Amino acid sequence: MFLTEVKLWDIVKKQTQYKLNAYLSVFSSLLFIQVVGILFSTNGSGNTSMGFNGDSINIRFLTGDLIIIFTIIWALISAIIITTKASRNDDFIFISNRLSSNLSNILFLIIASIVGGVTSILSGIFLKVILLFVLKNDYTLGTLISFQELLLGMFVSFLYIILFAAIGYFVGMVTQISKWFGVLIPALLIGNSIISANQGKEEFLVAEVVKFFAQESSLLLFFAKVIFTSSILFFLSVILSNKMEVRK
Amino acid sequence: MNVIECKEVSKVYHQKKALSNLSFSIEENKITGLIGRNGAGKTTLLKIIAGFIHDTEGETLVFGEEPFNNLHVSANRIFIDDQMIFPHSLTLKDILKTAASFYHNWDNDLAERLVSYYSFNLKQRHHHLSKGMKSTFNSIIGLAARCPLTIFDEPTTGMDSSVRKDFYRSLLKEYLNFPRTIILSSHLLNEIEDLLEDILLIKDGEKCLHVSLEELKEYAIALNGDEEKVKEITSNREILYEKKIGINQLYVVVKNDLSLREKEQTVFSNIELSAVPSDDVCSYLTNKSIGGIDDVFNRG
Repeated sequence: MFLTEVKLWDIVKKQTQYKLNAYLSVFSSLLFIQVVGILFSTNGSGNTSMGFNGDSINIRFLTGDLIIIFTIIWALISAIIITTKASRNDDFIFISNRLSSNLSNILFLIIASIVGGVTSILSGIFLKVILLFVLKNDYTLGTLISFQELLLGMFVSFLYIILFAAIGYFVGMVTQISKWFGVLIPALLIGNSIISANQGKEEFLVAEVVKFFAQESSLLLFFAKVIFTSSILFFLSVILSNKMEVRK
Repeated sequence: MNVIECKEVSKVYHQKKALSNLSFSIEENKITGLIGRNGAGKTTLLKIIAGFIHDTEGETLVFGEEPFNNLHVSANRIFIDDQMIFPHSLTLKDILKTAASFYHNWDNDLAERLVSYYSFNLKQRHHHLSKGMKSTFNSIIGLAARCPLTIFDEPTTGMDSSVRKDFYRSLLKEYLNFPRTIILSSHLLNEIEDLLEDILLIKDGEKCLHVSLEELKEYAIALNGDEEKVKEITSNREILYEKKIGINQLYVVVKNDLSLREKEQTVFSNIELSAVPSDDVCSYLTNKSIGGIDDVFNRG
């Protein structure tokens, strides 16, 4: 029987297709988390009250931010889940090597993040539509956003989501190498913030990282930062998992 | 051409040596049976060949390449065992479709005919199947994939006897139509004996025997007769197995290298010579003690 020659890219494409079929639960959980996000958002994300001549005005701010935050958490957890042994073994039932398995995981996460980014913004708009009907007796002010802004919103939330997916993927991979990292990383983050709070100082690790991304006002720079960071995290994950044994 | 070549392969698992200094080679288009007791290292060896795990020492070559993390080897081999867990969201139909998309030589017609022969419901999910049904389904994938190297690690776990027979028969037919290198691991040699060309017997992670089945059948001989006379002949030989029969009868299995004179002697001493079935040879060779389980109970 003749030996078949295969190309890496071919296998990566097939594996990505396979994962899109197999990991349906990733998308159903996205749907669930966004519905929960919408429900939580109906309460408003901020309140301002003021009194004026005996009248009082209560202003509630209603945004879809919470949905995006929920989607980000979903991306983090989904990325950790696909690094687990069970998911890795799924790959090695059919043709695979570690590189193709990693690349198809990354492709899958990119696709999932695009879906997450688009749907989280759309859910935000859906929330506004619901509220417009629910709150018809109140005075409701809605901001209109242009189509360009809509796309921009989707793009930026995609970038946030892929960033957290990359973090999750890296943390998941490190944890696969040694279970101790699963304890060590949260302990480090939480311990660090407790110690900083006790000393009355600003938390340096997480706060700096958040500042690095969230305070970036230029889209291009933000894009560059996210892509650079995610690439490094993905690259490290590929390197770390390249010697890992499967189906032990 | 040798499809598999192992040189001094060792594997250490959690400080325990699962394989030690195993060297052998398997030629193209042969059906080899990998026989060994539980925990002898069969699965470890097969997983090294399949490229799932790497050897601690030594060199393993499959199609002339190192199998670990090798896409070329992965594309040309298939590894079937009862530990295959498919994603829960996929139906049997989806699994067959996915397998078809991956494997270049996949024979969809064969897969469909086998699936309907074993009357699988394609809408079912793999993890809802019974143990035997899972093994049957996995074996269909193994056969239909038509990989140049097909590895079955205890493929018949849980199958009932008629399905087992069907499986062996379909394996043989597939092999005759599309010859390929097949490794079949099992601890039941008598069932697969008619199928095999070669057998590789391993014991405690070491190679015990790698011979053709004909040679295995001739490997040992049994002497049955008066205890003292049997002992006289076998006194300076390695005894593979011995069993007391009645009061002073002894059944002893030794390597089949009796000289003509010794054979004459057995005739005079009224000792009966008989062939030893190949699966008995395997179990005698891999037994830890010469008396087998009887030794545990005969403390006297």
